[in-house]
Amino acid sequence: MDTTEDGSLGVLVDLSDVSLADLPELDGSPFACSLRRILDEIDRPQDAVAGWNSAM
Amino acid sequence: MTVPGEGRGQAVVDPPAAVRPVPFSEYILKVHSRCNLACDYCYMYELADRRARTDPPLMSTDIFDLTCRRVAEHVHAHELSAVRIVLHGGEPLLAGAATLARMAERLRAAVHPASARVSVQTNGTLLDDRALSVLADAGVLIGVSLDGDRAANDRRRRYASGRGSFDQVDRALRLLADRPGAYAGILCVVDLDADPRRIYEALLAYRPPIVDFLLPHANWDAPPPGPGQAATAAAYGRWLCDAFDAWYDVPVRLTRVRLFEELINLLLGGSSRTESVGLSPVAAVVVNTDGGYEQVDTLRSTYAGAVDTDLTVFDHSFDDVLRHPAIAVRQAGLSALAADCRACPVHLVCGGGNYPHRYRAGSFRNPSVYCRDLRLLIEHVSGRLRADLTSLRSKER
Repeated sequence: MDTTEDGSLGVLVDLSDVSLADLPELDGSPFACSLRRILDEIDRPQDAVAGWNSAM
Repeated sequence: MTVPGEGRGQAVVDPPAAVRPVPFSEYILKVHSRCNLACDYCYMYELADRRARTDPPLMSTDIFDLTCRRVAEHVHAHELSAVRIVLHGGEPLLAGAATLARMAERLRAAVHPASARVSVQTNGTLLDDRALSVLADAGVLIGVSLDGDRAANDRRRRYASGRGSFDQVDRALRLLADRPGAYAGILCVVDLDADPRRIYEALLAYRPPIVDFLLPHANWDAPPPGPGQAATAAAYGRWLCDAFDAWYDVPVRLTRVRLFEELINLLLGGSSRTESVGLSPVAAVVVNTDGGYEQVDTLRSTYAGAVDTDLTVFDHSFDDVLRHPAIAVRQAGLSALAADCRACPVHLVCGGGNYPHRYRAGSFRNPSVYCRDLRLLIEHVSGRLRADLTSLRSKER
C-alpha cells in the first residue's frame, strides 16, 4: 500500500515514472486505455463533475 | 426543514461548510411516469417511495416548455458549453418516439449555442425498428437496461403478468447493435444468483460501447437482497471482482465498463465522472412530470419524500435549486462524508459509495451499506493495477 497525501495508508497507485511516451508499446487493453485516459487528464486538467448513475 | 420519513424533503443535519455551487450540467426530465414493466427492484414504484404511481403520467406541453426555458436560463447564465439531457421515466418510450424526438429538438434549440447530448434510458421493450429510426434520426442516444441473459433478466425484469421481458429487449438490442451511432450502452443490475462472467459475456453479445454494473438499491434500513449476511460477506464485492477480471483480462478492450474505468481513474489519482464512486460534485437534477424539481430519483429507495425540494419550474430557477441544502451536500465532497469514512484508507476512491446506499434512520452521513463490497473491489483493482505497472516498468528496464 502507498501512503496518501493525508498520511494514511491507501490504495492509490503511483504513476510518477510513467509517461505517454511509454504507451505506444502497449496494446489496446483496458489497462493501457486507462493509463492513456489519466495521462491525458494530467496533461489537460478539467474540473470533473459526477454524472447521474441511472443512465448511460 | 422537514424530518425524513415525516414529510417532504431531507433534513440536512450538520451541513458541511458552504462550497461554491457547481452549475447543473445534467438534466433528467421525467417525461412519462408510468412503466409497462413491473421489475421487483424498481426504485420508482417498488421501494420506499411509491408516489410515482400517482404522479401525472405525462409531462405536459406547458411544463416541458417551461422546463426548456429554465434549462436555457441556467445554461446561458453559467456560460456552459455542453450539457447532458436524459429523457426518462417510468418508461420514456410510452410517450412515443416522435414526441421524444421533438423534445430533443426543442431542448437543443433552447440551449444553443451550448451543445446538448440528449439520451433516453429505456427498458427496451418498445424499441422497435421504427422507434429506433425516429430517435436515431433525431440524434437521440439510447441506453437500455438488461440484466444479462434470459434467466438473470427475467428473474427481476418482468411484466406485471409475471412474463419476462428478455425476448423484447433482446430484439431491441440486436437492432441497436446495428446502429452504433445511436447506442449509448447497457445498464445491468448485479444479481448474486447469476454468474458474473456469464452475465458480462451475455452483454458483450450486443456489442455495447459501454456497460455499467449497478448495485441493487439498498441501505442500512433495507439491506441488499441475497443470501443472509451478504453485506458482511462482501458477496457483491466478490461478484464485481469476478466481473472486473472478465473485463480486464483481454488483450484488446471489448467494451467500456463505467464503474471499473472510474475506479481505475480514481486509483491513478484522477477524478470520477459518476456519482457512484469518488468525490466529484454531483451536477445532476431531475424535473418530474408535475414540474417539481427533485434530487436524483434513486433516493426514492430510501424514504418517501427524500427526492423533494419543494421547488418547481413554475416559481423557481435552477439556481434556486442549487442553493437547496440537500443539493449542496451532494457537491460538498470530503466534508459530506461520515467520520468513519474519512478515517478509511479508501475513501478518496469509494467517495462513500452511491448516496442512497448510505441511508440509515434519517441520515445519509454513514458508510455505504456496500462498504465492504466496495473496499474489496477497490483493493482488488488496485492490486491488478500495481501488478501491471510493475510489469510495465520491468519491460522498460
